[in-house]
Amino acid sequence: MASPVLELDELVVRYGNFTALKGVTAQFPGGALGLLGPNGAGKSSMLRSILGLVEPASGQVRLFGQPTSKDPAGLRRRVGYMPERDTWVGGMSAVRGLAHLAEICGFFPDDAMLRAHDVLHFVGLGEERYREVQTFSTGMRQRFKLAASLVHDPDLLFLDEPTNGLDPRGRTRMLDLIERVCKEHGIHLILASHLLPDVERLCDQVWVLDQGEMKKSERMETLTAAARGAKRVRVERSQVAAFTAAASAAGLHLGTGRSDTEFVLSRGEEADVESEEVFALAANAGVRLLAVQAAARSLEDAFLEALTAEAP
Amino acid sequence: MAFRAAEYDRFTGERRKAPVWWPLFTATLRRGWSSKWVRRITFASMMLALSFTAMIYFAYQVIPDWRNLVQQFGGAFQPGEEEVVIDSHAYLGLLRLYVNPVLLPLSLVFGYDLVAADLRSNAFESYFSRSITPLTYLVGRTFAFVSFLMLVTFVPVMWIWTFDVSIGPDGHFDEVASVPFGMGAALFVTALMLALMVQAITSITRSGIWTNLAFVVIFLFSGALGGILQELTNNPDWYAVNPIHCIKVFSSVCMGTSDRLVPEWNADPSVVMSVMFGTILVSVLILWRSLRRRGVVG
Repeated sequence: MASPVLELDELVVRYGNFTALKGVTAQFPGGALGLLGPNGAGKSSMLRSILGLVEPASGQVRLFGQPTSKDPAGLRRRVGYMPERDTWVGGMSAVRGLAHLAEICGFFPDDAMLRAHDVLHFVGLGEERYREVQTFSTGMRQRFKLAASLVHDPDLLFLDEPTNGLDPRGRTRMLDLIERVCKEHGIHLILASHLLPDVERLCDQVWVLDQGEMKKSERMETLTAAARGAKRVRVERSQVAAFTAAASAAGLHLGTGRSDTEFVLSRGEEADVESEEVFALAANAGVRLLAVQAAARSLEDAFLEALTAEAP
Repeated sequence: MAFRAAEYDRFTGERRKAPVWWPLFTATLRRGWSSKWVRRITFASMMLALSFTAMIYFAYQVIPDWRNLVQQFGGAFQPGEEEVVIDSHAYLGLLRLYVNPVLLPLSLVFGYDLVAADLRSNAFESYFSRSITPLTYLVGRTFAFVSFLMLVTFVPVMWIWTFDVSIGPDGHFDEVASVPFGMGAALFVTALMLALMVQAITSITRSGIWTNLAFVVIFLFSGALGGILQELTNNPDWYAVNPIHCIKVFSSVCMGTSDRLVPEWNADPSVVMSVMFGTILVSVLILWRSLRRRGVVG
């Protein structure tokens, strides 16, 4: 059996007195993984510690079955990293800068230059490749960073907020590019983002981080399918307590909604929750319903639920 | 140019085994050479060497005995000496000509923005997430910087020396045989000190303009400071606070002519060497600290 692409074993990252990651243990067998979490959850710290840009205080990281401490330079040749902040090599054109980065990863100069041209064409910067990166717009810089992460043909891509600052069309374009690279060429993807639709579109697994802890590690279909057949119910704020008590007494599971007056009522995998049943429950409890609708649970619901739940 | 489809392809070619600092070495040279002032100083340095060789050649053509004349008349300008011998001491003058107007400005125009540009463009994140480590970064950049400085100074000086030896009289080679070693050592240590110093300053200032200012302050004001301190304490070792003075004394030591230095006007060679190697060490520590903060795995 092939080794998992990434294994974290009790990973702790500290910046002075602040602990960014508190003993995270997880496995990523391969495919596309979404790293979710609110700002400051530890997503970037996790990516940076895997790459060796931040030294873990304790714990171990294994990439492709090999500890990153053993041959960090060799392993990093197999990884493409697109950081959140802009980065380029100054004083060079885009194509020359990319060729330089490919040479660092072991490409011969001619191959590196050819490859730099190819990936810049691929991300749609073919016409701009002789310009210096500092003259690029935000969208062009994002695409340049994607090209830089791909130029040495990695086996694993780390993308940190790749659609930041992009307009809707640019965002769709960026997601299309990432999807093509990963799905058509078998490159594993780890995507850190706080934009849930991006993760939902690209990833088949999700890790939810909050305050440096792993809150949830699930496959996407498990997360989003768990509450199919459920109902999304909204009640008045003053009647929240009465409604939750009645629903619990009726044996229904109460999931977190998009606000504190909204709930997702489900019965797990056993049976669907019918609308009539909800109306009866409310009438018996003397609660006025503001909305009842079928709850096709989104990643956002699962994410919010993971953040409010206790750590596993 | 052939049409290229905008598709992503996996790379199936061969990867090379060259050391990871090599691309940094070549990129540093390319970046330095892109400065027109670097090209101008390089051109001036080469022209200086060609002028010297042309002068020597024409002197032989016009006055075949010019060497004896120079030695006899030269004594008139050297108090306490009967004649001037064209030996290591004469080459020390040539070395200073290549240090002060060539090496000093060249090290500044070549390296004033080297680390600062990478800091501003956040290039370390690109480098250190690949195979480059802080150590290989430092080695690649410094090796290229020092190599270029040596190329622009040591090569022309050796060109003049080779020409002088090849057309000089019998026995002249014995008088100047040690010159390449002395020149090489003096230029190498000086270039290394300047390269590391400039990079350390750029890593602090993060700006080419501030690096230039800091460099000027260090080189000009330290000379005045050394003079003032020497006057106050009557200790010539204070001259060693000025890098230019250190380079002058160190060059004399390397060329084997330190016995001709006037003790009242020159710092002790051991003090000078301590200052120079101390400067190298401090510069490396500043650079290392700056780089380690941005990439931790070695």
